[in-house]
Parts: sequence; C-alpha cells; structure tokens
Amino acid sequence: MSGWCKQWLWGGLLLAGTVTALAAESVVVPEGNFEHPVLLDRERRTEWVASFRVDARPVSREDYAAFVEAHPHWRRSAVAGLFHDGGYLRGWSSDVTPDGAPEAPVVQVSWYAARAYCEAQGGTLPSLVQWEYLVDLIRRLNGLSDDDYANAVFAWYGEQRPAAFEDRALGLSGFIGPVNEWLEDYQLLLANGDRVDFGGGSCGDTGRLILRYDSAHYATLLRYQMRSNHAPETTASNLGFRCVYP
Amino acid sequence: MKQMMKMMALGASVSALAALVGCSQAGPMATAGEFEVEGKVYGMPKAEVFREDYRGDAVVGDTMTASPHLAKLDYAGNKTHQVRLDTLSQKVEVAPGVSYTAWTFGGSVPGPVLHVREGDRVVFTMKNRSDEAVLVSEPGKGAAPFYRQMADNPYQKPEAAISPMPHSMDFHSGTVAADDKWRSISPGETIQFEWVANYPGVYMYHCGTSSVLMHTAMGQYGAVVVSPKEGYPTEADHEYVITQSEFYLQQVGESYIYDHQAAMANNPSHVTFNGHVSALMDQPLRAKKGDRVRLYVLNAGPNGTSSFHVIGAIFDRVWYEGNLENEWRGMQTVLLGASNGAVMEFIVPEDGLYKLVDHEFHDAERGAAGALIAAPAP
Repeated sequence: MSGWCKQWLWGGLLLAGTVTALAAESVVVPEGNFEHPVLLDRERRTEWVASFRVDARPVSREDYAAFVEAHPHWRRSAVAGLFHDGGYLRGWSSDVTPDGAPEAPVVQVSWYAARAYCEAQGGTLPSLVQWEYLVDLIRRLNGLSDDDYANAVFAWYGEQRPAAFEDRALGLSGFIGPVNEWLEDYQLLLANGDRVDFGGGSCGDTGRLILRYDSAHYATLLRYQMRSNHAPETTASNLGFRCVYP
Repeated sequence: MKQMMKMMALGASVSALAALVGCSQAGPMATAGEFEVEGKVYGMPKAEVFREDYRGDAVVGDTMTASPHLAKLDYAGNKTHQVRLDTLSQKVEVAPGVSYTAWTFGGSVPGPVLHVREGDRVVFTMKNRSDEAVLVSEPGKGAAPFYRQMADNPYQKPEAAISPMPHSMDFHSGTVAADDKWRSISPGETIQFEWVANYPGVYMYHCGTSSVLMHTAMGQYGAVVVSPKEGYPTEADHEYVITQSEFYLQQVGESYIYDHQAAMANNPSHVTFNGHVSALMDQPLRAKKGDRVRLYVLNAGPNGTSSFHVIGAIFDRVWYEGNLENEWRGMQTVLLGASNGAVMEFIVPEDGLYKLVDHEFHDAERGAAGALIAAPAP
C-alpha cells in the first residue's frame, strides 16, 4: 500500500504543472524491432518501434477516481450513454468512490473512457504494436519460456488467474492479468492487399495468419481475437487500461 | 440470382395467401423477406444485438433437457419455440478430481439438448453472461426441464465461475448467413435470431468465436435433435442422447487448464460421453429385453472421430445425420466425424449389460464408454 502511495505521489510530482497531476509511475521503453506474431498485413513481417514511455502498471481505481473528480462529465451519473454499455464503473458506491482496493486496476471502463483518461494525463492509449512489443520485451528480457508464457495466457483467459511472473528488467507489472487492457487500435483488421481478409471476424479462421503454429503464438492470437470482439462501449470486470506518453 | 428472386416472390405470395385465408398457425410458413424451396424456409430476418437487464434462468424452453434425456414433443404439426440459452462460465468436473473453468452454454458440458420437429421455427435468445457468476443449481419456476435433471444428477459438480470473453452461437441445424446470426457478442450483450429446422437430424451447436478450437475445446457445444416431420417408421421404447467430445486439459498448479499443444496434436486428456468419463457408468441407460432403443449420437469433437459401437448389439437401423433418407441396416459400428450425428436403433437381445464404446479404443480408454443395463422392471 505504501509502495503504491509513493509511486502515486512520485508520478504526481513528475507531471505536476503540465497536465492533471495524477498518473502512475512511468517507464521508458527502448526502441526496437517488433516481429508481428499475427500478420495483420501479409506484406509486413516486422516493424520498428520508437522509444516511448508507459505506465508501469494498469491505471488504478484511485487514479481513476481522481480523474472523475477533476472531470465531472466522466462521472457515472453524468457520462453520456453513447460512451458505455450501461456497466460503466458498476460497483462504485458513489460517483467518486471506487469499490475494492484503491490500488487495484480500474475496470468497467469503456474504450472512450480509457482514451479520455489518457488524454487528460497528456498521453494516449497504447497502440496494438506498442503493447504487444512490450509483452515481447518482457518475455525476452526476463527469459520467460514460450510454454510458460502460453500457459500463463491460457490460465488467464480460462480462470482469470494472473500470471505469476514479474518483469524485473523494465519494472512493468500487470501484463497477462489482472486485466485485459484497452488499446487505441484494438480491432483486429486483417488486410490482404487493399481488401479486408475474409478469415477475420466471428466464425473466422485467423490461425492461418500467425507466424508459427506453436502455443505461444496461438496464445497471442487468442488475445488479439478476444480484444477484437469488444465494442468501444464495452465494459467488463476484467477490462482496464494503462497509458503511454511520447 | 433470377431463380432466387422468383422463389422470394413465391414465398411472399404464399404468406400473403396464408394471411388471406386467416391461417394463423405458427410454423414454417414463410413471412415477408423469406422464401421457400421444396417446403424449406430461407431468408431469416436480421439478428438483433441488444442489452437487457436479464438475471433469470440461463436455459428456458420446454424441450431443453440434460443429456441423456430427450423431451417428448407433445404437440401436433409445427410450432415456434422460444428458446433461451445463455453462455456462461462454470467450473465442471470431467473425471474424478479433474475440474476446470469451462466456457459453457447453460452451465454444463455439453450444453442442454434442444428437441424440435422438422419445420419448427426457433426464436433464439442468448445473453453473454461470462462476466457474471451464474448459479445453475437454483433454477426458477420457468426454467427448462434441463435444470431439474441437472439437479437430480449433478455429475459435473457445477460451480459458478467468471471468465469474461466474447462468445457466439452457431447452430448446425440452421441455414443462415453466419456473419449475421452467428456473430460474436461481448460480455453483457444479448443476441436474438431465428432459424427454421429445415432438415431432420442430430445437429451440433457450438461457439464459433475465434479461436474456435479453443472455444469448443473449452466446452461450448451441445446437440439439437430435429425429429422428422412424419416421425420414425419404428416405435422406440427408449430414446437417449449421447454427445461424445474430447477435453484437452493439463494440470498447472492446483487446477487444470486448456492444453493447446495437445489440442493441435489431437491428443486429448479425456474423451467422454455426455461430458464426464463416468457419466454413463454411474448412471447407466436402462431398457428391458426385447426393447427397441433409439440413440441420438453426436460426435462434437472438436477434433476426433468416433467409431460408435454397442457391445453385444447390432444397429437394426441407422439414419445417418438423423435423416430418414439416409438409412442403413445391420450396422456394427457407425463412424462419425467431428460434428456428424446419427440416429441408431438396436433391439436389446436379452437381459444383461451392454457397453457403449468408441471402438477407437484409445478413446474408449480415455473415457468414451458407457453402459446400458437391460433388466426386468424392479
């Protein structure tokens, strides 16, 4: 608890005077090459990712409570119906009082709400490439085996059991549970030249477009697919987010 | 295309005629936008996706039963069935000490059996309740017979679980545009659509959301039995539904989770009849000497075949896929690919114990076996 508070204060000091002075501690992510595990574009196997900053952990409930204090139109009683599915901040005991542990990741937030929060911090939601690049980095820098990674993903999607591994290299936490995270471009759009690939969508077959047919790639595909089936208004008890900054 | 337009026009005029003569019988009669080919109805209205504050029973429908039961169709001709089958997570046991958090339809694996008659219309509603702890052990008054049967024989020891995930429903018994009716819905959303049971048979339903291998292997499937309009040419003394399926589970820590490598290698940890290695051993099917037993057998897969056999019996009649046009006589074994079904009848030759097995014995050893006991009524 005290650790979280310290981070919270530190984050606040860091950003004081620039934007709403509330954010998690952020981490600088080194630039690098990202090998697409799912070929969103058949002609593009790899992509260069520029350095960026990212929240070390998912946005917490107290972070989000401070945001709605400062931005009343994002309070549950005031938020426009267009921007959520009816479950926005379900469980909060008042407009500004979260349920559960204050440091736990905020959930029941739509994509619209998550974007608004990040914008207020001077950031954005991560792009799909940025977020997946982070997972890739964490796996490599911490020596996580493909099987351990795949099992962690499958356990998370089956039982909501967060992965036991920690990132000791960059100091990031919360990947592969306790929440799925909103991304700026979360829809899985598979391109085939100028056309949309017919294998996408429901009842589709996108497995043929993963780079290798092993468990780790399949686990990653599952995450791509799962995200893609959400609507921007969707809220769920396991759906949160973090922000990135230039 | 021209042909189709003509049919559509025909369909429209048929329904107009029906309206003129005051025919109000619910059933397969085509309505606006629908068309008929040889008495079969196509062109269903668009699916609707919406949000509802529904907390009631996850399975609603008079003819929804728990395997191996099949509901009696106590009506003449055709009718429109209002069917609800919500999708929800549930911890279920598939072998002694082996439980996992399943993705289910209605709270069991396989999900409930839906029984309709050829020509019936189904108005189907499904809410994605994967983000909600749904208790299936305390059904309300309007609940389907499924729940009573589950409560009487809770062999999967169901426990509410939460595992929010988009899901969908694909009925093999329906003929529709899959990108409309079988589309995925997010947790909290409800989908409603219609289909007409154009062909008799034993059909699979399953979640078609990618990755479909994992969604089906996690438990999202079940059987629809469409009885022929004219009935069967035989009189059965007993009717039972058996769904064969594979589980791909590995132990990680205290619990069991999906094993993708095993699923890709078609190397199941368990193969079951009706979702538990002992389902039909602990509660064997019952009959008497001389009875004609009719089995509705579905192989749900998701990967393997079933060589279905009854030890000590020969199938007097087999209707492959459950269609009377596909009749076989004197079959020792019926081969079912993934999602194939069949109606199989045999005469119980004498008092005794009859084992039902997948004659691919590596599957029988992994659980694909059951029992039928023939004895005089006590």
